[in-house]
Amino acid sequence: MRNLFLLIGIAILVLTQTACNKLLPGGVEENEVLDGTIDGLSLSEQTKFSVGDEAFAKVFTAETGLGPAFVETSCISCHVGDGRGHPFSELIRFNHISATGYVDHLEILGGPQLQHRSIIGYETESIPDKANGVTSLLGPPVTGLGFLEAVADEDIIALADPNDVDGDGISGAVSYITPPSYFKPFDFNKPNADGQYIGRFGRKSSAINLQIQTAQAYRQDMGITSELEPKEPEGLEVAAHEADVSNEEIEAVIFYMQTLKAPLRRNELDEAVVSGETLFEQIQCTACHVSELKTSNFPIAGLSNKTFQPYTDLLLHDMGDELNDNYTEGSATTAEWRTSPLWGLGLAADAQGGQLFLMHDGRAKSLDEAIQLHGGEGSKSRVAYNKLSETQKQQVIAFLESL
Amino acid sequence: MRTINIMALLICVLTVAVKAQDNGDFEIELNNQNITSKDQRFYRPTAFKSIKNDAAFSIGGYADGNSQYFVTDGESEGLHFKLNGINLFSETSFYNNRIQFFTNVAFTPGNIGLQIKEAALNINFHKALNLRGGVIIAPLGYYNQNSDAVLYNFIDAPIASKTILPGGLSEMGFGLNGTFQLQNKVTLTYEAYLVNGLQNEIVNNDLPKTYIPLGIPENIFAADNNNKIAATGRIGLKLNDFGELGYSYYGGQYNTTEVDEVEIDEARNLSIHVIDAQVKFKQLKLYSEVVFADIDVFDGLGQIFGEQQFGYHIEASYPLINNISLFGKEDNQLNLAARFENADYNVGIFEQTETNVYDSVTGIKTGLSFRMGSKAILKANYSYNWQKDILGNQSQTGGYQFGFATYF
Repeated sequence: MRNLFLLIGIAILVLTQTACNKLLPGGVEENEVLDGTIDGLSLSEQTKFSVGDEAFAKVFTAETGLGPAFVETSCISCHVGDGRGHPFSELIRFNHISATGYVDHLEILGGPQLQHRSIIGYETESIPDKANGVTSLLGPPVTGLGFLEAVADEDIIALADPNDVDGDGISGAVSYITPPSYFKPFDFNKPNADGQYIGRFGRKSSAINLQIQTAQAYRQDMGITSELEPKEPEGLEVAAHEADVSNEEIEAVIFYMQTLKAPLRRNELDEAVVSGETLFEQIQCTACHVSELKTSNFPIAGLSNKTFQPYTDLLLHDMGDELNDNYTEGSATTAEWRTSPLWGLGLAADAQGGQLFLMHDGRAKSLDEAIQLHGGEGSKSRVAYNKLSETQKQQVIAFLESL
Repeated sequence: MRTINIMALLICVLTVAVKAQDNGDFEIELNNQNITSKDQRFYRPTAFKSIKNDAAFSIGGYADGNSQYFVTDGESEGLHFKLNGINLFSETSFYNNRIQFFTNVAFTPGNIGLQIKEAALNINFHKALNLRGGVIIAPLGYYNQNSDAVLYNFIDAPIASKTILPGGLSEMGFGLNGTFQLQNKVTLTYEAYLVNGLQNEIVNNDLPKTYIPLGIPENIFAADNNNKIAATGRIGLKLNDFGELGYSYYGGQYNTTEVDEVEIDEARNLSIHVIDAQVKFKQLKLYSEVVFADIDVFDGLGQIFGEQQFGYHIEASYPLINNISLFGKEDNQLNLAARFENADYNVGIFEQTETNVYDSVTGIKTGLSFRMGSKAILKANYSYNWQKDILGNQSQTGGYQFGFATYF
């Protein structure tokens, strides 16, 4: 009888413990994660988002078209948690620049991207001896890209000052790219006299829109061919074959990236953050890291005519010799880089294993280190930052971490 | 409320622990201290046994199922129920028990048909020399050989035992096994077999990571992928009244080197080492397995696929109440158990940053089990795991399980 009572007592204890949710891991706040949709998606758009989410996480194998040479096996491997890439998934690119400045991306030798991994039975690529410019690029976060895609060309052009007419030391330049044959412009995309369009995606702004960025990334980063980009990189001796990925799958991934929400602020009302935001503007960081942009009319209602805060002008800026890898794409010089959007910066470490790897190749391990690497057009702001007191510097850092 | 519950539980534990001491040692047939790990599964309770002249036949089975509710980083798939499997086993022996044929077939969810876990002929020339061949269970650790859910206090197998070791590995093979009685209470056992070996899917998979369980061929009767055999074996040293220590090995080529007579890769081997221990201090039982795996991976795949894996678990169980009277039987027992475990699927550092490569899971489990004689058990488990992806980004999973396992 005593044992029976004891058994009943223990059973009650077990049941009450299981009812206690405090023993189970809690969720995170919406502003502490990068994934999630923009507001205003219809039910069918949410379904389309889920399909794209699944395609973004899909892992390719040799049987499903991976390689034969590749960098990573899935989109999400370079954009973990939709965030910044890690040096483990670095994209190494190379070119040869002649004495006269002619840029040869050495495509016939497998360029411009090194695929340093391969499926069984194939060799990995190596950087050709002829290459005299090599850079390493980490994948950028993929959040908020729909907003960036929906900015009208004329708004980007309005921010440009390539000849530094206003004398502020900032000479942001528009990147003009010759589009591939499959490119279809939005109404707000306007060609220049040479039939080129503004590039806004990629570290050198070499991709005009997300379709081009995605199709090229499938091909160059994973060796996955599509009807848009049907050719394997040169030198791999692969027999002609059907596309590894369907247009529907690419469209799903594009829609997914278009409709990922913009990163949400954290602690924006904290005193230090508010002070830091003021200092950020005072030391002219906002000359390039423009705090607010506006979208144009866009096919997705949730992205149409919206104001958003990316902290980028989508222009190319000369960042000085320290960041000059003698590599370039599109119309950028070797020292020019597209202003990186700073939104989501405070969550960067969550996708990089708890550490920070900032700037185009992850060389900066802290926000302060990243600021110190701002040469060229960024040097004026760097100097101004270094003149701040330690407390003020911490306020600027606090502001950046709140993004 | 939670504090009161914990205090009440502690009072119960202390009360019954004192009472258990008064009852002395509690013998359960399955945990007979004189049976070695090598032979334990042949002492299962059976549903039917017949002995006639010099032949014997027995048949039985076991089944286990559970309900579970897990939450990962605040998101849950809800409460659901699983039937993990129904196994049927049989043993036929004749010629004065010198020749035995034993089988174990499993019906598991998702399988079409059934899975033959064991179908082997054993010829007993001498206690120290047996020839065994057929579909054999690889002697890879204690858990792989004795994976009946009835034996354990936890519903889930130890993580390293099922995800670094190819848990539940059975293969076509043959070899020798035997038992040496060194002293009155010291027993040495050995098993050494040649088997078909594991396959390419260890690295040719969409996880993507080195995952040895995927190397188990879907059809163990099909032709081997590389016509190369592997070797596996275990040495166990048992001290009656104390426990058993074992060392297991598995090694061989796993990959295909030629396709249509075209060489695609060089031979690549894997080797797995397991140290297992089962120890008993009075009524406290400790179980542990430590696993090391070395896998030669095609260089081109890079560090995505780990070349070294390491894992372990340590588990303790203690009877809270012995001799519980239920349904006219006195041999029921309530146990308290705890497990700590870790599995690292990619031991190493990144070439690019010289920082740690992760891809690991660490977990704790606690639970109560109500053992109904030697044939059935009810289990209530709580577990909490910390998972890290290859970069070290962490997620957490916690949950509850209630399950049963029974011989029939």
